[in-house]
Amino acid sequence: MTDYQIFRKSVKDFLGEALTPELRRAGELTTSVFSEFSAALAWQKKLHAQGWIAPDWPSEFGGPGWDIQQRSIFQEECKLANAPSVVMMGIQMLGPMLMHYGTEEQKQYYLPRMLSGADIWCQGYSEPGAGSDLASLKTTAVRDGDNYVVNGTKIWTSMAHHANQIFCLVRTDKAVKPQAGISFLLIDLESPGITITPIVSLDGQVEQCQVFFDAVKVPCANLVGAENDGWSVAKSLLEFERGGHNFTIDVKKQLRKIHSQAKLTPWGEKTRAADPVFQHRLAEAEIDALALEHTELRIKGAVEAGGNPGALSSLVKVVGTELGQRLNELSIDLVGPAAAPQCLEALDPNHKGDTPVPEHALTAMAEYINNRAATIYGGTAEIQRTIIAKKVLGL
Amino acid sequence: MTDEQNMLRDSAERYLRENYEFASRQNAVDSGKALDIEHWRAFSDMGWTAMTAPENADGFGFGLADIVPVIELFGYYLVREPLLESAVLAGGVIAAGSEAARALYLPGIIDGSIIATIPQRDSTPLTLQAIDGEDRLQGDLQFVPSGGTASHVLAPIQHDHENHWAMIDLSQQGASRVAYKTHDGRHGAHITVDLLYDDGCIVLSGTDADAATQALYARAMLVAAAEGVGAMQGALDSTVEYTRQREQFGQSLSSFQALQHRMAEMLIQTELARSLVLAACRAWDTQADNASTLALAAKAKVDAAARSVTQEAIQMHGGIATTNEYKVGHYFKRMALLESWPQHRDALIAEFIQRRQG
Repeated sequence: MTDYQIFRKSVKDFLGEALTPELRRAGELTTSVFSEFSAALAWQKKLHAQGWIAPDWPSEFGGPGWDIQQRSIFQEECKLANAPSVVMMGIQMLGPMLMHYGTEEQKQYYLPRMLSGADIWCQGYSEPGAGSDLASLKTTAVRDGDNYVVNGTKIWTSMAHHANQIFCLVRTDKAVKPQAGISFLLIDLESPGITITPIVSLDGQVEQCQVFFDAVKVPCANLVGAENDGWSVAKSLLEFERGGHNFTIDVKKQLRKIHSQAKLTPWGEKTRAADPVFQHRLAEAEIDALALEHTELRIKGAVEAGGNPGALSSLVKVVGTELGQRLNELSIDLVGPAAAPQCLEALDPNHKGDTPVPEHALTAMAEYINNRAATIYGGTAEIQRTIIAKKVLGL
Repeated sequence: MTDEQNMLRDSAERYLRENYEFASRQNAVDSGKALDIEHWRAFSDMGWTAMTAPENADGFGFGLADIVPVIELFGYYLVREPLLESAVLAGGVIAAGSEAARALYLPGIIDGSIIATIPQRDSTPLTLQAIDGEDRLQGDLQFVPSGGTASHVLAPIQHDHENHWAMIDLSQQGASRVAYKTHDGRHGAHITVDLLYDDGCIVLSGTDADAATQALYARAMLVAAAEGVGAMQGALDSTVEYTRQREQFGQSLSSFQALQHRMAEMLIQTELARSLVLAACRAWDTQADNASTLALAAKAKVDAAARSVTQEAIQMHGGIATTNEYKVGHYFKRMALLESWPQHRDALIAEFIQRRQG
């Protein structure tokens, strides 16, 4: 066995042992980016105890010291074993950014708490009036002694109803051009003056919230980077959000599910797996998945050689999310009328008892509905294409 | 359009605009009730349950093409009561049925005391079996749309190589259902039948039943297609309105040419679908030779067009459209369910190919 094969086996062995049936169930019933919260947290604690909670982090901050190939193997094995997904805004997004821009105190206090799950982070960027045009954000932070006083509101804050911390972009100077007057603040969600309102998504579940700030006092020590330099801090973080994700693994898992569903779905005398029309559509998607995979590998190679993915991360975000949506369509096409019931209770991993749909039909429609958001969050498909047009094509 | 048709359309438009705004629809969905009884009464009071019933049974005798504008409104306002299933589809089979069945069921369909639904086209028919000297009607109807709302299901029966359609009263002993909410705010059900057979429930039999099956599902495709056109129009109108008022980068979203072209494409797809649906309904009403093929084509066209139009609507609205309290995503959900009603869209296309070759 090569070193990587040995590594893969050690990951598999660990997953075989650590993933309880309950945790796997939570993974199977995950219909969005997020798994049921208590399972996600339980899984985080297990990974933390193993030292594997932050595969992308350097070992000096608590990462396992894996190379890019090992990280990819780990992600893939977790996904295929139906591990729940860990709430990632802290470890994947804020963590790397704090390592780069944070003060020594911030690193020492926040990074270990991020790993252990003592802090659950959410992201406060978008506002009702500032979506794609993020720089027009209006939430203000005004200096008052050793504190900032924050007023305003943030929206689409995933998991805010489970989080205890939020990292925010706030306006600290109104007189300059929009990008120049923004700062990056860490805010304790238990501070007085904060209200969190959950938003019911189109699939009937709650993942998003709106967070309101009414004269919230935030210590100046919670500023990350320089005052009014939040835009460049955030931009580096957005690249983590876009570039850090491995879409090929998601797509492979979806394809695997579709193949096994197709074999179970009657179609005329045979099954859908034997239907040339379906085979053709599936093959087209598989070919696009291969193109995506090799684009991701190319980027990985460039990063390993010390390069910057740049606008290629926009390309991958567009293709990865849109291909995922196409596969969601193939799934509901397979399931047909059995996809109609909205089985909210049955999607709870703790649910016991009968459900009106067969197991393979349980998640298809919820995933199809929920995943429309994938081309909206983290920079819309339109914004990504604009980035490509401007940065690559120079238009 | 005749005066009567205009009146019907106008009354539907007015009623739905004033009483079926999205927020109150959602309150009804959230209440957990399968049906808003006030709406249901109003529908029959206004004569909607009699739209396509024959004139000699106190109906208006309208053809499908006549009521396309009304059906489109049902899609546009996301009406969740199964009026079209009951009055147009089940009612259509009953109107073609025996004298006795007409007398037994049509008045109830028209006055709204009967709410009928119909099963998927590929449902396994119920069977009639002699058990311990009794004739028992037995079987399961899976994933019946509005099966949780209906008082009756119009069910296929197969016996001695002969087909029948029967009205099964779901409140009687021996009829049971597992009801569930569906993603479009309606209530579906699995229906299980095991009851002592009484031929009073038979609506029609033999070659009449075979013809009724053809007609029922062709009409179901046309009705669903017309509803889909209304939903697409709703998604388009919402997108145009929202992008006009939503500003980013100091200008309205609607001022971006990239988005204008996509909204123009939504309109193109909606109008293409509308043309085909209207033509297919006219062909059906006049019993044209190609009527069945056109019905397949119309439904398949709407399935494809509605998928892209409603997805585009969400994308161009952005985050707001992924919330349950905002209307536009509900068009998307409704159309996602209609795609496999009354039959899988790939099956429709396969049948279209067969007909074209045959």
